[in-house]
Amino acid sequence: MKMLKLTLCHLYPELLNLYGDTGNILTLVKRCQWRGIDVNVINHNIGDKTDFKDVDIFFIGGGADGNLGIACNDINSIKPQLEFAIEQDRVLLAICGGYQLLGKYYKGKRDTVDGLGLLDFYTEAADKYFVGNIVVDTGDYYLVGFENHMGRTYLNGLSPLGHVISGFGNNGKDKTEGVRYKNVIGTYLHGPLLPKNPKLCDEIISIALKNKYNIEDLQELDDSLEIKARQHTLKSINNKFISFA
Amino acid sequence: MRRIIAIVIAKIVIALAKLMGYGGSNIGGELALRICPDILDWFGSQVKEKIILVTGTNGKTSTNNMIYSIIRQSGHTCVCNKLGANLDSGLISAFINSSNLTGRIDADYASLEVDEASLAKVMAQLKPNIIVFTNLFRDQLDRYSEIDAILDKIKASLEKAQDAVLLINSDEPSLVSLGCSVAHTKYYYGIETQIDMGSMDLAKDNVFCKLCGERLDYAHYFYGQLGHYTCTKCHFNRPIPDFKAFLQDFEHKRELTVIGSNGFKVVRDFNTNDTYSIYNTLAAISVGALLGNTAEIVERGLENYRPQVGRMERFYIGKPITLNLAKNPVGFNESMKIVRQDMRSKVVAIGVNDLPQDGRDVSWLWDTNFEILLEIDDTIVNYTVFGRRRYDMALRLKYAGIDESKLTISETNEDAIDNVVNTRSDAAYILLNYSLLFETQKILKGRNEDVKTDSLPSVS
Repeated sequence: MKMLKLTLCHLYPELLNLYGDTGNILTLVKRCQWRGIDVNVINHNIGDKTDFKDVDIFFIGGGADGNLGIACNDINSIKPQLEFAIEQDRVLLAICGGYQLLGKYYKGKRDTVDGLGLLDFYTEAADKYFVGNIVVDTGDYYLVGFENHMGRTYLNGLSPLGHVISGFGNNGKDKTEGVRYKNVIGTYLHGPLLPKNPKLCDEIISIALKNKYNIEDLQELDDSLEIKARQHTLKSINNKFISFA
Repeated sequence: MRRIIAIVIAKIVIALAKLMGYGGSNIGGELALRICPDILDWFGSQVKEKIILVTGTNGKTSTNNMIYSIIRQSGHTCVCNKLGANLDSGLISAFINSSNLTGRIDADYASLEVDEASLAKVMAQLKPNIIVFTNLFRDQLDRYSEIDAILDKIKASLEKAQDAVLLINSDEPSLVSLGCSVAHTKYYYGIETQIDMGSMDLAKDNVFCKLCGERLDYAHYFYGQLGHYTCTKCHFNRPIPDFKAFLQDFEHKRELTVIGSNGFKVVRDFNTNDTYSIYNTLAAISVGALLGNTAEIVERGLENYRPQVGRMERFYIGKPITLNLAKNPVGFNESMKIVRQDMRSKVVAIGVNDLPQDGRDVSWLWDTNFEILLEIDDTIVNYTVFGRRRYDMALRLKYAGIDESKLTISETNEDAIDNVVNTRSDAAYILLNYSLLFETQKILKGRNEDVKTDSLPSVS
């Protein structure tokens, strides 16, 4: 059988890597490698002439406000390629600042920054940070993570990634968390997201394999440590949540 | 009157806390602050000569204690928060410890380390003469949000202290950018010799020019974002240090020479492994010189300096055990580089808590290069993880690629130390973050077999 190989593109790792974001890349890579799937990670930094045509999974993380501004200028130049990839059902995972960047705008304390406008949501800065552990129900499984953001995101009718069970989520009001459009996943969860949410990580790998090789089933891994880690965090939030692991 | 009540109550509480074995506590100072909100102002106004503040992410405690030793050597009295309690309440506790019941202190100097996020609060009451900046790394993100925000905060607080002299690490671009943006009198200290500090991994969040946004170009790189840098686009570059450190390596030692103005020159021997504390020593020597001390007094002061709890602290319980505090990615990376140099069979225990003083967000574990340990994995017989975030740490090690059969997850600190002691090996290292330090150190002290434990100055 032919060796399976996926291509991962980390957008602006030098600028947008505020909250352990490389942990998400590491988790994607390891969970592929443990299944014998080869992974090629492309780092796309400012000014790079990257060929995105073979990218199966895009990742964009969070960053300090100043760095987000720098990234924003460059990312506009690759917007058509990203739009094309999204319509081709490629995966785009965007966390925190990277998530906000996908929307129409981010209205900060000083000025408003235009987003990429790939999706029709918007974000406004508030005075207080939403900080703490968060639990989200996606319908298929529960996500466990940590959020830390000043932005309040309003989805304008788009589908959320899930509903908040404990924590704040997009805006602390409507109980939504993140966004899901085709295979674009935006979320405020870091901690980072994927190590403690192997089901989401495997869903991403599955989509990529389906797109590229039309393979449906994914080999099971021993996730007992991941489950214990989830149980431990869930228990620390609320004893009743332990069954969500 | 309120002041006296505050001091008496705080003194009783501090004595009780000490009796119960809680070191480095803020609680006495916190009470005093509640009862008498302007108490720090009152204490500060009694300092006869100068107030020195030491701030930054890493190296505050070691630097501050060295400065204290130098001041004591020069024959002066000095108030100092030696154990590293560095919020406003901790500073108040330090003053209360040196005061009589009416709140009178007899201090020529105060040398105080201040948490970088508390600087504004502290400077509303204390009028510092010298502020020492060590470095700014990512640390405890939920409390400090991000480095740019901290820089803004520090800049705003500096406006209240126009007369303060700033002593800044010239090799640290984010701090130098801060220096460029204020009108204060500034002195810089930096390492001139391009030594290898074992870091190839550039900490990438700070390598962009704070003035124009261009990527900084490094002619040499030490660790974190520290190095010899220039911006290729604007005029921003590393200032020529007023206090220059030169290093020369011999077979068993490393010699540090610090050159100041007017022929000021201090020479110190270092352990070759110990790159991390060069900056701390350099900063302390620079303060010693700025205070007008002779090189001889500075050298003798440093001789008398003893590192504080958990800075490469050595114990012996069936085998040598080294305890080291590490609070953030740079601190952990530097600690692990020290472990990497030890080729004996060993247990490595890592403790991670997420209490407010540690930072509740532990995503930094994934910004830390635990893969360093993988390079010596064949010498590590067991990885022990403990603390409130032991499972996050366990996962981090799993994804770093360690063999899960070598992993022990300990429910309590006692269990962790039992496992470290009982697992057969020639040595052990315990790396942990702040709120785990004092309890762990207490257990180790209680079981220690060698009364002559020594310590090396290192990561703090």
